[in-house]
Amino acid sequence: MSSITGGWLNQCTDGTCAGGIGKLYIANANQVTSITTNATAAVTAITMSSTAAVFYEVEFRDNSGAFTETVTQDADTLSVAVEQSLVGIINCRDQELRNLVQDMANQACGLVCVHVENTGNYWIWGAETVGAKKRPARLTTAEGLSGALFTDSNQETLTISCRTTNKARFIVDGATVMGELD
Amino acid sequence: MMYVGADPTGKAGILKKAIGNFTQAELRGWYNASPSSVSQHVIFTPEKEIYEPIKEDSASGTEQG
Repeated sequence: MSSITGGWLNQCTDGTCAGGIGKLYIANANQVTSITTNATAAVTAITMSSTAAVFYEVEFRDNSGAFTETVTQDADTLSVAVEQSLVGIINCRDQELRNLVQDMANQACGLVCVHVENTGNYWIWGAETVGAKKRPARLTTAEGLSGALFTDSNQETLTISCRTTNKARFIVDGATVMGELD
Repeated sequence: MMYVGADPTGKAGILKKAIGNFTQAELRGWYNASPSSVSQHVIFTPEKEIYEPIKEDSASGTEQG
């Protein structure tokens, strides 16, 4: 139930940007109680269940993190769905990484994710409520790979996905907000 | 419940504070900024003209940061 209120013009003075993801923050979805949005639908605040609830930082290998978001509107029913997915690679498998993957896989309440794109923008997803029910992100696959040759990569490839009806939201003053939450 | 984000009263900077410690001005600003998402945390009582955090929220922690 909305109308477009503006278009998009080439921003000549700020029209280029770098691809890729720098950092990912993840929180247990049951510890993120709400997000506050402003009139432009950007997030201005995040409410956590307690002072102990935090977002945890995950750093991927350089040039390996990518976020994909696909909005689909069925031409007949006009129903809208948003599929979000983030893929990233972490080098050198060890017990700490093993436990992170296992905990993410076993988290039945799901995850709330904030990723920082190389444009400097912070985006939050997995925090939407649809039909009075939370729609968190989840670890959908984690592929561990030892490699065969000395020169092969020993790595874990994580894929986190979310099905919702809203695109990821920009966090106003994201660096400061997330600095208080990690 | 711990709030982290823009100061609901409109002041510059980021506020990190337990909802139970919010002032009336902060509760009012927060509620009015986003009634749909805030109504699960804050109740406005028209008769008394006050904003109150719900019980669960008001019971949480102390001011941080």
